[in-house]
Amino acid sequence: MGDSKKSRADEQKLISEKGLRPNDSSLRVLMLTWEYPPRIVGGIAKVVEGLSKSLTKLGVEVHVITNEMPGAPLEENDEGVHVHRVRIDSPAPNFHAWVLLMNHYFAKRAGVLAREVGGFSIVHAHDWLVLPSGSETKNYLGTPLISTLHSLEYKRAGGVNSPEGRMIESLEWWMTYESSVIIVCSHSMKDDSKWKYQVPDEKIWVIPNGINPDKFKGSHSNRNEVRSRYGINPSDKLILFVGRLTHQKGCEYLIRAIPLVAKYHNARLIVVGDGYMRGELESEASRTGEGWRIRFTGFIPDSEVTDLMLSSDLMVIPSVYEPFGVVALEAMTADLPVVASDVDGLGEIIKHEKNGILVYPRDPASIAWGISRIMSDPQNTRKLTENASKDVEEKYTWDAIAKLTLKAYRKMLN
Amino acid sequence: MSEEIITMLSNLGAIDEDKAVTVELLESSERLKNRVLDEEISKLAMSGYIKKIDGKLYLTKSGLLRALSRFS
Repeated sequence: MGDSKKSRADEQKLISEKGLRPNDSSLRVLMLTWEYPPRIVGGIAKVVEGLSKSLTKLGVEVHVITNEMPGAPLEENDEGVHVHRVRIDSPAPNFHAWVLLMNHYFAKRAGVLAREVGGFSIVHAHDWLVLPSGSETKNYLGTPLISTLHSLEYKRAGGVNSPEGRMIESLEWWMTYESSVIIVCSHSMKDDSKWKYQVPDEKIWVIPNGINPDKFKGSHSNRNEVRSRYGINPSDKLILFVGRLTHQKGCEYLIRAIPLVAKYHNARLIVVGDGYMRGELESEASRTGEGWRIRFTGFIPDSEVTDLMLSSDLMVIPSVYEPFGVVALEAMTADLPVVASDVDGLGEIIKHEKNGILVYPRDPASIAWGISRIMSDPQNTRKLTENASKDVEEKYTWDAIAKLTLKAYRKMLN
Repeated sequence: MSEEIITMLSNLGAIDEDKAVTVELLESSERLKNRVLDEEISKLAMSGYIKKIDGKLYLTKSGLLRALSRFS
């Protein structure tokens, strides 16, 4: 007993003096994220998955601490990525108390894991939700902290008007202060972060999100069969929306555009995703008088989303705020033409009339125009999808993004 | 109110059968106090967001993801 106490004290002293880090030049990274597949709430899950798998290919040992999900194993090797899912056994009276509990469990798991594997070179925290455990792990293990800000509360919530929003903002600021490097996914996010939190320019790296360019290769979905599952005829013009049904995603503006498009095209809309606005959006669809053209699927498996992407005529991304828009890359990879709001990072990925069509945000008439532009000129649309596909290959593969991230890691460590 | 029910179930960690909670526990929470929940619970169960077993409730995967959707 006395010896174990002594060795624990020695270990603590060593950690506080030198940090618990790998004793060779190899990189061992700890990712902290509240979502990782199959727990896919927003875009963070797919970003952490894609980045981690590609970092692994570059020789980095990646451990991910994340939340449990019914049906998913607590410990898993996911194509080389060590995934550690944490069970949160304590109930919480509200979401923000739950977040703090989650962070307590994450930090505890990180401490134990560090001893098991011999420490980490870097802790990489994804968004405000895991900042407390990222900060605690940094200070406890003496390991540098790098953080990715995936979006900003004041834009995501359309303003900060509640105590909860104020709390999230303070955590975002704390993240920019506590981290040695901040990664953001677009130049607009960089500008917003600099303005909002006075982050020094040299501390922020713009590294876009990515995609696996082979994601849709080898998919053998039968277009007509997929359409028939949703009651869509082969000759119908099928518009696809994929995203959370929240204020940020602007789906209501797309729904209001459908009657305008329907004057000229036999258009149908499939809305994939769920969220607190679903009931409101279903009512909005009925109010248009063209509700029969619009179908809500709720959450569906990734394979089903793939089938729909390969069987649709175009995707619309009507977001009112979008720091990046991974779903745009997915559509571009699937050769699906994209009509997107000219906002934030989305306006950086989509170049108007080059690799897609940009429209005004919150404007059903503009969205309807963009949809008609795609539907009315197949030759131009083919050019757009070819350019989009090239852009993905050149700029947005996870392998390229992982190399950039590795550069940020090395620079920080040096 | 349905959003409040699924959010509360998520906060309570009721995401599988082992962690299911009673309707009484939901009714005792500050936000749902003095409300009649039976009808909303039946609607949520029919929509596939929650499951009710032996008088206890828990979120399905869809219910959990919907509850968390406003925070990502």
